[in-house]
Amino acid sequence: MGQGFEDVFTQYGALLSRVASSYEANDAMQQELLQEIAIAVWQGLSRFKGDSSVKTYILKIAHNRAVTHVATQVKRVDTHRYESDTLGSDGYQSPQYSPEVVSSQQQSLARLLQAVRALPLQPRQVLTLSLEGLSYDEIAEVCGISKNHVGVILKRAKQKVLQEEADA
Amino acid sequence: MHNDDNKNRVKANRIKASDTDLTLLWQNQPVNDIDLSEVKKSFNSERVKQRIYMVIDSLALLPTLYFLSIYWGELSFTAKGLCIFMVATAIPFLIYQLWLRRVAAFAKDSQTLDHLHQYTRQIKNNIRIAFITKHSAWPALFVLPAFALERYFFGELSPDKWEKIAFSFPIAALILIVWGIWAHKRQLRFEKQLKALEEMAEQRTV
Repeated sequence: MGQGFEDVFTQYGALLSRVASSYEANDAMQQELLQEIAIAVWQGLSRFKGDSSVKTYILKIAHNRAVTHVATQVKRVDTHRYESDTLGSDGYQSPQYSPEVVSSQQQSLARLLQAVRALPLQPRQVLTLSLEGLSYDEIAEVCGISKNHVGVILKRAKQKVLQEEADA
Repeated sequence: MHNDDNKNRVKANRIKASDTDLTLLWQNQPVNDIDLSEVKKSFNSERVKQRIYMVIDSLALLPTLYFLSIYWGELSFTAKGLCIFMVATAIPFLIYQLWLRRVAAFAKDSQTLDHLHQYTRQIKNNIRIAFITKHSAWPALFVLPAFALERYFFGELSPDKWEKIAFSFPIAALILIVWGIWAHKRQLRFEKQLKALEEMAEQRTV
């Protein structure tokens, strides 16, 4: 199981980190949530029966863990709403572009993350799963809603995010 | 007509381009690395911790049951009734506590909506339990004097027993007051958690 776990994290580590970033803005809290998600995924993998893809399965676990995390962190400072360090310490890595383009991308990413985190749970989840390349069926399976509902929520969430991008 | 078609095509292309840009932007964001050694360490320690908690929870009733098994014959009908009531009240709480520990110990692959509903229900139950615990602390303050009165009216209360009661009552009262305050704080914490969940799930127009 140990090797399987490491393989899964090699393949999906970045994906899980992006799930954490959609719930927590603060870099330290993001890292903490990511570790929590990783532990939950490790636990969950031992019960994986192959009814769905590994990606869908671990995304369900990751989002459930993140929901629990947000609730349990209320006793601490409300860090998931910090906006100051949205990009984390590394910033947006685009070495092939000029500094101006990189800066513009950083700002776009910051605005995107801010807009995503401002969404209520369901639109946020539907949008980020779509941005990860999941089909409507897979998104419906993860979230527990109908395929039609996914379409409606996704359309509105995208409009909202793109509108904020256009307003900036 | 031709102009409208063109406009629609341009609009559709823009949306498509925006979608692609958004996906690229999202997938190229900087990511954190998972500390595998830390995950393994936490996983093992968490498993051990949960098992210890479950054992401690299960053992919590043993001192009471041990006391009752030794002194059951000496207790009056009223005292037996009080003891049965206390144990009967404690057992459902113990079962619920063990269930919560089990739920907390295992990662869930349920759909997010189900998880949210179940977790919200669980927090509401926790609020109720904290509320009941808080309001069971102050009536419990009267249990010890009730036992003493029961002994006074229906049994024999020797001077050394009076001394024991006089010594143990302030200690029990202090424990119950701390217990009540702790339960109150738990209630407030769970109420904040519930608010956070409800705010997160709130369906605004997006």
